[in-house]
Amino acid sequence: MLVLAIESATPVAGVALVTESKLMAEHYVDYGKTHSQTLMVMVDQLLKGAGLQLGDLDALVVSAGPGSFTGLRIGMALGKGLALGAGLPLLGVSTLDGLALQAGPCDGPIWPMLDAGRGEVYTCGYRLEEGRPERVGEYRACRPERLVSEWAAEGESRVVVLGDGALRYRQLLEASPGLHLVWPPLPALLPRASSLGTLAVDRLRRGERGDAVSLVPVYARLSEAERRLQEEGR
Amino acid sequence: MGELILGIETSCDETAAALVRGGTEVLSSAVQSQVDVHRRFGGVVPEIASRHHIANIVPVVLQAVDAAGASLRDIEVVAVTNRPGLVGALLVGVSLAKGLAYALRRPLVAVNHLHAHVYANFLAHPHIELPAVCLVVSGGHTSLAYMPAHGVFEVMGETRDDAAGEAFDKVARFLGLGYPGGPAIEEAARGGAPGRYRLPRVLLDPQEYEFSFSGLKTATVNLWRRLQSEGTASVNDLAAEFQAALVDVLVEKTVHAARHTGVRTVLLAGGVAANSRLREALAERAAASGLQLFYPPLSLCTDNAAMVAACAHHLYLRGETAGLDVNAHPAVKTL
Ligand SMILES: [Zn+2]
Repeated sequence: MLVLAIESATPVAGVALVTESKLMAEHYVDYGKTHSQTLMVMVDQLLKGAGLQLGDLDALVVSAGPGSFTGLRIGMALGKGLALGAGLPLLGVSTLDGLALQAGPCDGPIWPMLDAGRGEVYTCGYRLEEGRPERVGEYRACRPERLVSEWAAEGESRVVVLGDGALRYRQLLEASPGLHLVWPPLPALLPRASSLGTLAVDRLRRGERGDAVSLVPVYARLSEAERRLQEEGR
Repeated sequence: MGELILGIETSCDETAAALVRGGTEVLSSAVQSQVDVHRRFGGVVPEIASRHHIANIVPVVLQAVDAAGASLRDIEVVAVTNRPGLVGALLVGVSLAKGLAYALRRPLVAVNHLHAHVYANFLAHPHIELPAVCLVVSGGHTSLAYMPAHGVFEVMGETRDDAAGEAFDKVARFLGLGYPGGPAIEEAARGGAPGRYRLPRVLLDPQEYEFSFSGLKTATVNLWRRLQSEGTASVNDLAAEFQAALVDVLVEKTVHAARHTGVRTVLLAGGVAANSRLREALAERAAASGLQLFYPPLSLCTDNAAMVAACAHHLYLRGETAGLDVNAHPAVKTL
């Protein structure tokens, strides 16, 4: 099974070719160009480098959110176009799920965080079960201060954190008394397309089938206009 | 026969796809409008528009392909609006078109939305003679351009502040007439008469082709407040006078631009080209000045993808195709 993964939920643009047993190729950039300029070029280079065509793939996977609204839609729309034109299944996998995988084997809960602006992070907790991170709870946007108090309330003293949200609020997190933070090494700190690909291969093997028609991002946050309307209604 | 182009349009609040052969023969045109979604906000909310585009884009493309009795493999060129518009909305269409063109191994053509509006005219009237003067009026734009040849637009003037459609929306909202403002004001104006109240025709420099509608908007608001305090207000009469004032300015500048450039053809385009008073007034003045006026049928005035494909036809013939790194450009204001 061969999957092309596209990661676009944060300023990192990534593409990867992944099978059950092999990370065949990966391209990762984080130098401030827009995903619209980089992603399609990277897909083309990756396929050409591997001597492959879209028709050789079994499926495509894109980041499903949460994350940057526009970033998610660029990757997903590109994935939809590729899947539609090549007649391939398209899966959405959460970038938070992918990041949790990057934490590797570790003690304690894993909390990937993506910078959500407005003093918040997109996040979700994970616990290892038989070596694999299993999600605990829903994807959500919340203030890092709140996570810290939740961890304290649950008696968590050792937490694995990663993602650009964790980096942004590093000082705040590290200033929490009685909390020991574990930071994965640099190559695992930010979203990798290969993580999405790995999770997608698992899901495809379990019989999951995605399609380009119905896939939409998980935003985990209302648009600003809807939020305001809701507040006025209150 | 001519090449089969798939057009894709997501620059504002319509998700649209169309199949057009040879730049003129519309095989299908699918438009998913979000006007009901944005009504409760009184205007287009960019983030909500983008959310609907990503949900609707593939169904709309498939609908256009099916309605044309074609398959995706029949498409020879993929065309997409990449400027100007709401950046998040444009990026959905651009990214999808990019992926689709790549997967189908077809050329991609990036189209200016305002040029596309003008090309709605050529779908309805394939034998329009150039050069022409074009007036593009919509919710986001008010531009006068000289069009010497296909695909070539030289801007003569634009609005300094509000676009014509924006002025309609703002005044309609203020008067409590509803959204979108263009049809709402036209409807109210039908029940009133221009001239009962008097609003200014802001021509700025009569020798120039720039527009300004914010003064008219303010004058309308002030007049309405005064009328209401006097207890004699007729919203229909005010709507009629506002519409007349705005149309008079557009007509005056357009006819002047045509005379100045010596063209025989005037092309009206954009969402506000659906306004019947504008069509009638411009037709009357054009006829009196020996000019031939064209405007698209109502269905092609508002945003659609057939006009995108029609415009792309000429770019494709000239070999102006886009690379894999083509981006969306929200702020290109000029034609
Ligand atoms: Zn338009």
